[in-house]
Amino acid sequence: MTRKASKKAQHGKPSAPIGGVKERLAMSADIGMDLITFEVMRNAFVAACYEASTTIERVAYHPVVGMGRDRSNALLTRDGRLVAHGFTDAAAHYASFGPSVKELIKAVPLHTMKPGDTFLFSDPYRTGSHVNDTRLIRPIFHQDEIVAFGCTVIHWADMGGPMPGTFNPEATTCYAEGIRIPPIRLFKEDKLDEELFSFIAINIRSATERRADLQAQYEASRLIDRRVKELCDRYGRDTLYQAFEEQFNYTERLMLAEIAQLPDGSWEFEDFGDQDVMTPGKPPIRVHCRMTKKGTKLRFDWTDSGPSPRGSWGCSYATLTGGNYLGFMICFPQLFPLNEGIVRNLEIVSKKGTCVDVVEPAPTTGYASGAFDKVEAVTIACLAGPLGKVQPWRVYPAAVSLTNLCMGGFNPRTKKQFVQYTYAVGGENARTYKDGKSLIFMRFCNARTIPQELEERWFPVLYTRYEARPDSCGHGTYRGGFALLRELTLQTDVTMTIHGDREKFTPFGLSGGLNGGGCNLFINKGTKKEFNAGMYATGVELKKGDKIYYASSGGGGFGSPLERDQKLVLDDVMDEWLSVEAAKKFYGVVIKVVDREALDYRIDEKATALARAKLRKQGYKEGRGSHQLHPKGKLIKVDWIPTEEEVAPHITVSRPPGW
Amino acid sequence: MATKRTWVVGTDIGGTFTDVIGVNLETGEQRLGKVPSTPPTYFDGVINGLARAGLKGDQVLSFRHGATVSTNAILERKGVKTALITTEGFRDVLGGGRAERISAFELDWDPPELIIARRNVLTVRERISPYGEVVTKLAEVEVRRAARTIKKRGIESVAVVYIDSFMNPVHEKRTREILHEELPDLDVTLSHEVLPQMLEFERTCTTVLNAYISPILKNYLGGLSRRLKRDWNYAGSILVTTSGGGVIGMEEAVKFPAKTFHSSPVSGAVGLAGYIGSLAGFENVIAFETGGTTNNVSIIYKGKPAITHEWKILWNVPCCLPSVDTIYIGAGGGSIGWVDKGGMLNVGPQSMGAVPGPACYGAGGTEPTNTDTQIVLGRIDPDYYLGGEMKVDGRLSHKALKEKIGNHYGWDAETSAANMYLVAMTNLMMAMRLQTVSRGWDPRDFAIVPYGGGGCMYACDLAREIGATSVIVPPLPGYASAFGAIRVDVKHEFTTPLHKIEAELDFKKLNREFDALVRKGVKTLEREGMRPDQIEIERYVDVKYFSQARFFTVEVGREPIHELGRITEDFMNAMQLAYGYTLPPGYAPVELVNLRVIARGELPKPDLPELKRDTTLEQAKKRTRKVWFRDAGFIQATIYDREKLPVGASFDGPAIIEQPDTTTVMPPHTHCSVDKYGNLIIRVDR
Repeated sequence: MTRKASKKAQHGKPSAPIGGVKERLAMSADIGMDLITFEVMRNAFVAACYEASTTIERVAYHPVVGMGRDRSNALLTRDGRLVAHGFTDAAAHYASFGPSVKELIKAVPLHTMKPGDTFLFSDPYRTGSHVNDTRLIRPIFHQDEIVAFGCTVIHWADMGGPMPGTFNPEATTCYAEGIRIPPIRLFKEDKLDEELFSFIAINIRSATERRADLQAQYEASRLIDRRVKELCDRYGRDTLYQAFEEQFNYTERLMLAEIAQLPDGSWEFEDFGDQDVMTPGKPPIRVHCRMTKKGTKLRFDWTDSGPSPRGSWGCSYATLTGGNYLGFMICFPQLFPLNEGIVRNLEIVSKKGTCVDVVEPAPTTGYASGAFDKVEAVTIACLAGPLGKVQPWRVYPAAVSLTNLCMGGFNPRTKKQFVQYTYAVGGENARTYKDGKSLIFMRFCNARTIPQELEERWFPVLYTRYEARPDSCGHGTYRGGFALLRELTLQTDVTMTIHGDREKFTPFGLSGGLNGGGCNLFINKGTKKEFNAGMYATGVELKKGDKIYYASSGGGGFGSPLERDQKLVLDDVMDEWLSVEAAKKFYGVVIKVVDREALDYRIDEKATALARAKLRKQGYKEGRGSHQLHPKGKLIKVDWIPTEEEVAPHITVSRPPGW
Repeated sequence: MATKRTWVVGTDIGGTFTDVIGVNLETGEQRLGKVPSTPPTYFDGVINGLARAGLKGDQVLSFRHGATVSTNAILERKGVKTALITTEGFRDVLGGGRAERISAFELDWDPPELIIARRNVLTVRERISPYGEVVTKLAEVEVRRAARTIKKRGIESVAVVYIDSFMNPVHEKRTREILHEELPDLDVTLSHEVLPQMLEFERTCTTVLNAYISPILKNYLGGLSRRLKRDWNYAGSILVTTSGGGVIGMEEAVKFPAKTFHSSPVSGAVGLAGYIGSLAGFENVIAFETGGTTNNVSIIYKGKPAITHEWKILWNVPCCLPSVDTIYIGAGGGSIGWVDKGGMLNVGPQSMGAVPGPACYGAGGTEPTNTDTQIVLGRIDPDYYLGGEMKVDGRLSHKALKEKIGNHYGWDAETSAANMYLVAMTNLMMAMRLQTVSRGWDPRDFAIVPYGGGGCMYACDLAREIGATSVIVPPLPGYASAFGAIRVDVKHEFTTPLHKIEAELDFKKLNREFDALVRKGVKTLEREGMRPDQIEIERYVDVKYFSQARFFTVEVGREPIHELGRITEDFMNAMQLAYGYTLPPGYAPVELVNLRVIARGELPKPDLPELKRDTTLEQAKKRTRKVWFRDAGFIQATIYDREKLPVGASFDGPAIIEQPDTTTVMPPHTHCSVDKYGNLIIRVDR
């Protein structure tokens, strides 16, 4: 079963001997195989993953998977190199594919795998991310040879542990989170090992629902299997192997061409987590990167990051690489999909025991709202250095962060235990030439919100607010997007955990743009019983009728708010994104509301000139909190501000035909 | 003297041409008219087309119309000034959408501009619970304030969407009353009337689209009917084509214009492609239309079009009324071939459009397009472009291909063209596969029916690629939508939300609600002049596992329902077919989501006229020339004149069949026979 994948690809097998044009079809200056077969194959790789994701979306049980799309699918070579992933998957999962398969092969020898064997695996230290992201890995056989692996990741809403939903900010070891799963053969030759599953089921909440999610995952992995077999039947195994390598080489060429355009140099940036909740004094947690670019080499050095926190915030090395890849892909979206061609060309260095390279048994459930989010933002900020000189539209401040809200209890409607898991949407970063989008997902997932009308039918909650939080953006010449504010009333008693961040250290602005507004979670806001639960509340017992006030973060701004076109400020005020007070306070634009109903708003030119002059003299308060001027972010500049027309040709949209 | 009304007329307005087709139900005679469209009102074009076809208004029994005006009003943002009134606290349901991006990683992309700016989204205090109880009473004074705002801002049309209103529309109805008390002429669209279904964003967007174009369509259809009366002596009703693959009366269309989006391609798919397929004995058809900048693909399965409830007119702009699931691919005759930095050849999505157009037009375009590849590959005769009406220069096609693609790879123009053709084809193949395979359908069971300008040049190769065995080329590929419009029935669809899991079901109530829906359907058809013997009712329920996101639509027959057994079974079967699995029993309760009734009014459907032609196959042979085929390279192919091909003619590929509006390419190992209607039935051997 050992076959060396040939790096030097040969020409594809011509399908028939023909004269004239046909025999020259195979030849291409760069691609070492029949161009058309390559085109068909590389499309088919992504399409198979996309189809698998669609399958999960339609059949999975938990709304966060079905409606919310917290799931991903990937195709990998038989030695665990990533070939492709779907169009609409959660990027937080991407980096975990390669390590997961490589670790599986280490633990389970290839020759013991049989067709139909499918492995469950969820161990953050080996697979990356957190225990909830379970991977189902399936070796794909063609005849009797393993030709590839399909890997399907779903966020299981509960993996056991003390807290409903498994998120536990106060955990100090993985043993206070959920159960970890070593690589186990859960399906033996396509038959579920009920005994093995019962062992998992007894340790988690709502196990029958997870059984349904597992089935969706299994069907998805079979679908990838089927598609790859069809390709082998049609084009042959060798062509498949060749197409894998060509895909890597092709992406690598694209990538190196992009990197070659950047100036050489070294750049650094840092960002912070709000607090290590389990260390006395609750110190902030530092994520730092120094990026060095020389020729076509890019090196990211994270060794100066702070030590691994005691509470759940940090991430394992696999996740660090994931955040780093993601930040890179955001700056170079034309390289879609992420694959080995990119992975093998990024050098990522870290030190064991730091917050971005935690070791067993450090907790990891909070990795995405914690370390991962900062790694992604810092990567992008480092790349802003060289990109600001050549492609200034690829410079992005930080954006809305993740907040995981879990509630568990008894659902009077279904008469069963429930675990509700929702995450936030909010403000995207400003662009250098344009405002950021509001009420959109974190940059690491291409998910969708769960409609309130659905959520209320599934879980005993009633929403009373689901709209933008005014003034929550990072102000700037171009402002970030606005955050989301949700208010809901509990219809039953619940145990609530919130695992977020960015209440104190909010999404940073760049080049004089201010930081976005921070996250908040209040219980019974505006009443006598009001209390600020913060972003690390663990296992709070709430009663039927209690109200939750839950706000996400706004995107960082770009450029000084004083340079913002007054007309744009006026527009924001008329749309009631921005209050009259904030317009004056942050932009120095004084607006008089003559008749709101008639939309008669006027800028007081004289007062505005005065206010702007005063603000200019005074400057903005420096700091890393809401609406402050970021001390490091302000230093990042671009060589010129592009126009929208200039940017338009560079926008890359990767999606299936007609979708 | 009363004239006998024997003609059925279909009209369709395209961006460039207005098409008219009339068929005499008694004699089978068919008349055609193709004239330039006349924006902005388009009425002159319709009248001109009718005159060109020689049709007389007082002889017309039934008049069908494809009103492209609604789709265009959205795409060009030419609707009326519209406001949205919604529940306090939910102001950003429309603007926030589902918070998704179009593709992973890209942050410079922005969704299409909103139809209603946030400032014109007005909120009032009210709230209905998911189970239909009034949680917060409607604050009527706030509705009156909204009315004042609307008046001051000169807003012409209003969408009212309250959370969970479909479970209890009392607040929406009262809001309309108040608005009309304050502003009697205001156009008001209520969400529970347009789409009484769960999912607040999708319902809001559909309702807003409806409100945005309602006055436009009202003016348009009113104007059209006046012109038809004045200038064409026709005072009968106008039946308007819908996105669901039918027609509806004018009154219904004006009330629910959101039902008329993208009805032109849909009419072609259902009325033409589906029909042509059935003539040749195929229940399963891939309808494949090509234009200058896009292709679209729709599926007919077991004689019925594949329907989606999630159709989007644009990204993040869903219109969730039942629609034929048509997917659009940005690759037409004008799409450009280019080499990327990694050395890969790509086609589209950038297009040269009609101006300057493909390189061969000689109008300044220097990029190689799909049309240029067809010329270089010998498939299009440059001297017979649009039947010889347009002069094109094949040397310019050669030059563009050589310079823009050939030089990179060291290829000549022909090799460049061949590769570009194959890349374009893989994109189309992906779309066809996705449309069939992802539903659990085997593409080998389908026939491809190509129409529009360029589809017939790809169809045989595509069939081979996806494993289909037949391609059927209709006689009038340029009149698909107009012809389709005269081959469809009146079709209405009504739903009632249920949202009950097994344990909560009250079958008596369910049957009562079903009966009410059926009555509504019958009444609507009767209002449109249908006789009882024309009326056909189909009943469905939408079923899913509780907590699942998507539902399946299951047909339930006419009998009252007393238990779930059969419904659950059919649901599981549908799920098994689509996804290859169902949940083990007891894992999740089954939920009935909606009751659904399709009320069909059967209309007379003229057949294609039988072809009478006294020619021989020999006469149809024009000559031979060298043409490129996949797997064969350049070889001699016979060129046929479609207009001289007799009924029953039978011949083998390699061949090219020319007609003014399209060219059909038959590779080697294909066989064509001409049926009695003039359809080319091409068997594609593997």
